[in-house]
Amino acid sequence: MLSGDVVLAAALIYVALLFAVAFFGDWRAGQGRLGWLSSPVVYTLSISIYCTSWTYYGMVGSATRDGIEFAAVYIGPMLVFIGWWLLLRKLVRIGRVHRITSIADMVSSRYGKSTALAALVTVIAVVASTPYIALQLKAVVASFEVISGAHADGGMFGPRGDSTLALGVAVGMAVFAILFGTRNIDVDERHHGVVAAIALEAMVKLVAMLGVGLLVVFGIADGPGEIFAHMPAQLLRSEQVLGPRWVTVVFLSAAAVVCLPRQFQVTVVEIGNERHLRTASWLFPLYLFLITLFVLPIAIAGLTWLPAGANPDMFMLTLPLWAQRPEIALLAFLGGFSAATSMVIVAAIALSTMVSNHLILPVALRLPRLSLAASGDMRRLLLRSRRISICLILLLGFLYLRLNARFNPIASIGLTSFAGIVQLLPALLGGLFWRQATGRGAAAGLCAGAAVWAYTLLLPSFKGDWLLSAATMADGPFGLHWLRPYALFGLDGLDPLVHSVFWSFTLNVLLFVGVSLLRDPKPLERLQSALFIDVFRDPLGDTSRFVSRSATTSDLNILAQRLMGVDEARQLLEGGAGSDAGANEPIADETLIAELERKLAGSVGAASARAMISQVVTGETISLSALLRIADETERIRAYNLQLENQSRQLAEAAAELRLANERLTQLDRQKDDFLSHVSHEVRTPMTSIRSFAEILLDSGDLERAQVQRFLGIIHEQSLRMTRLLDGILDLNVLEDGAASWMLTPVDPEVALDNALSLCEGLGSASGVRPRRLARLDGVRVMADVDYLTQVFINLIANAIQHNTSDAPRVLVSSAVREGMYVALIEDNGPGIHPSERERIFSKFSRGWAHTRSATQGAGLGLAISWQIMQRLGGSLKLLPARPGGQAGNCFQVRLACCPPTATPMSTRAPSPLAD
Amino acid sequence: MDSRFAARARLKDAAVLLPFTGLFLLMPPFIGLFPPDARLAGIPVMVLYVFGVWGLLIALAALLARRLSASERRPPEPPPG
Repeated sequence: MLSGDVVLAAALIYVALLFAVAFFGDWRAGQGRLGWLSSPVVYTLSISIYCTSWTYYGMVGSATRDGIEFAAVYIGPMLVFIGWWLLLRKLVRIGRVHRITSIADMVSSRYGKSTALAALVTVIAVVASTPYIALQLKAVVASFEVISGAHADGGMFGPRGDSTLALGVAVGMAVFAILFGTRNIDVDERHHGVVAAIALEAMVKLVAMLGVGLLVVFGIADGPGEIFAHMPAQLLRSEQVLGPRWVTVVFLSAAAVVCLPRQFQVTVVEIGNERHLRTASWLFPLYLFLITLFVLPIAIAGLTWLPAGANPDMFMLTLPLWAQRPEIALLAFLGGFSAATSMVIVAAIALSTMVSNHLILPVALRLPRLSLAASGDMRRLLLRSRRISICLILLLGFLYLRLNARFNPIASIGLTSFAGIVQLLPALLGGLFWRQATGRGAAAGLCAGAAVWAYTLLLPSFKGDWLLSAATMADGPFGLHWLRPYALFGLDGLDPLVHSVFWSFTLNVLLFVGVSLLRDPKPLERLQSALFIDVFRDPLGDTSRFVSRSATTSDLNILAQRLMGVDEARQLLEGGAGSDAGANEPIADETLIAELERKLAGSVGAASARAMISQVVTGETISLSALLRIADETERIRAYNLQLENQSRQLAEAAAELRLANERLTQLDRQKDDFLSHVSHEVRTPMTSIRSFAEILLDSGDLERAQVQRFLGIIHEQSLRMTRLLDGILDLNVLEDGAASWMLTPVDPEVALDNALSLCEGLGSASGVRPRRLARLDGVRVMADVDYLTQVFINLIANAIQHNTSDAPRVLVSSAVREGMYVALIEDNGPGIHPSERERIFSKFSRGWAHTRSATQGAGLGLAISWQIMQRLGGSLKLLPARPGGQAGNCFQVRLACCPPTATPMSTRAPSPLAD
Repeated sequence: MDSRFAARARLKDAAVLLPFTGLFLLMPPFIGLFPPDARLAGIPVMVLYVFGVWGLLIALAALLARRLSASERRPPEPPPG
């Protein structure tokens, strides 16, 4: 037990330290040297005001009743922070872009800067926060009583004497909040001194919690094993704990860490750099992890070693006292004090900003004395209204404490508060992600949700002392059974918290969505929704494209001066906004007006800023069509991108096809050129000799007869050769053209072969080669034109005879039927085709035998013609690969499909070989 | 360039997925798999599980935040208005 004086002295010294730190922080910020003040760690520590004295004291109490349920209150925020990419990132960006000052400002700004909505959110926030603030006061008072032995059993705050202490604490916090929270009307609403102090308090909280935890686990007990050995068996009844209540509490806490005014203040408004959020995304969950780590051991230890009936909410203090460690008890007290004060201070600042901006200022603007026509500095009014608001908020908390807090454990008060503030969630989330959401919908949802919450959770928390009598609680108002607060519409048997959250949230969402769908958003709502939802796409940029209004520069100047002071007003009007809209112009344009409105919104909130601006501007129009165009732009851009992608793919395909076609064309062109040059070359040689011999005959008349005969013979022979060549070219043309279809009839290929052999007989006997014929087949029929087929055989046999320069020339002709195909082979033992020529042997003018020293020079068309003919006949002509190691020579293979002997004549049009 | 964008897209997906993974692991029915009586080294398995998942999620979030920062350094984001 510590004496009350010691504790009080320690507390006062600690408070003095906090004031000093806050003062130092403000001073440094004033010097412009932010340094560690705007570091991600300080940012994270300031977020840890989530851990209030509810965490500090109430969590242990909760753990003694519901086991691990306390963890749910921290799992929700943990999930929200590790999922910062989804929600917090957007909130923070919007908060910075639009200079949001509070959650009420956020909601009202999104829904067309509605003053009414801002006021509604403010009222709900204040009502929902009041129990929470009361809870902190109660915790401080109770902890003081326990540690100084005012109530040895740790009994709760009595209705009598200790009000003075609670009032004293409340007044102290109000002084701090007023001193450091309302020093000036900031343009960015940041409070460096407060942030520095709460960062220090966050450290003290954590150290104290860990200190008590370590004392319990390793000082009192002998490690975690022993602690958990004492655990009451029913403490981890998973089937009861991990049910609807677990889900509800996780949901509530996740929503609360976003919606609570003080959390919004530190997370969104006070952030110095968006990158800090990234660090906080894991550092804040780590803080929560550490601070909850020892909760269960402390709870178990308290249940085990402290006398029965000891208040579980105060185990944090009573355990060190029981263990005779007063210094740790004092540290624990300061930790709890830190947790309570930091929360109350920030909550008071956040709520006072909301109250003064959204409740007091709109009323004040309507008073003739304060309207714009009157002169004077409006900042004094704002500061004063905030200071009064802080006092009012703390007073409310104090009153709630007097009315209520005798009965309820800390944790249940905290959850009551959460369930109220969570009503803001649909409007907030809907505003960030749903374009159709309207202010009417948000207001309807908020009203319904808050009313149901108050009826089913807040008022019953007074246990029949206030507004709701015990009889009403049991039987419903006016005996209407289905309106019982704990069993609304007959939904009985649920935990009161789950029941209340279920009904309030269901009605809230239903009305929000339903009413939003009833009507189109107003133009300003549409503009704001686009600005909020597309904050990362930033397609809108300057809103002056959609809004047009005008005001005289002098009016704007007066307005700016009243809120920002003379210097800053001049700065804004002369240079701040757009170069062309200076103070010299008598009429200000939208750019300047928007800039001023944005600046004002940074201190009085969007709704009040708009109200003020509206007093001086005229002829406001919002171009809805331009807005719709832009709103659809992102959609269109996406669609357009997709289209572009498709098109480029199609283009690529088309380009590839074209390239291929081009290659083919160039190839054809080259072939044609080759062909022409070949032809001219082939024609030129005989032409030259014909001409020269003709010249000789003409010029010299005294030639011998024999000489003349010889020359004429040469001329004749050369002209024959030319004729052959031209015939060949014509044949080939006809074949390649493929215009005329051939009458194909079943013929005996052996007959064609016989004809060819007999026609080549003369040629063979001249060269001394006699083609040898192997066994003749009988009864084979193929679909062919017998003349063309004969020509193919003649060409092949003639080639084999003429180009055979071996010493003992041999030509072998054989035929067979294999697998329904008629196959004829023409082999020779000549020098063969040069390997490099084999590939091109069937193209025009290829001279496969150029290297042979055969007597006859062919035109180089025979094989090409034969190949074409076989194609047209539907068969094939191939040069079989040289047998490795075998004798030299070529082996040409002719293949044609056999047909049944009864087949009727048919007409076929064979594919042109050039086309494929 | 493409691979860096792809890596960044993957990181973003992971950042979106992480809280839902945590939600799944810490919500009934999954969390109910751990019987309250089972113990490991004297400590209830359920407690170990809850705090273990918690620690794991913190580690993953820290890793993700670092990776995202690193990947963002090259293609600059539009400056806050």
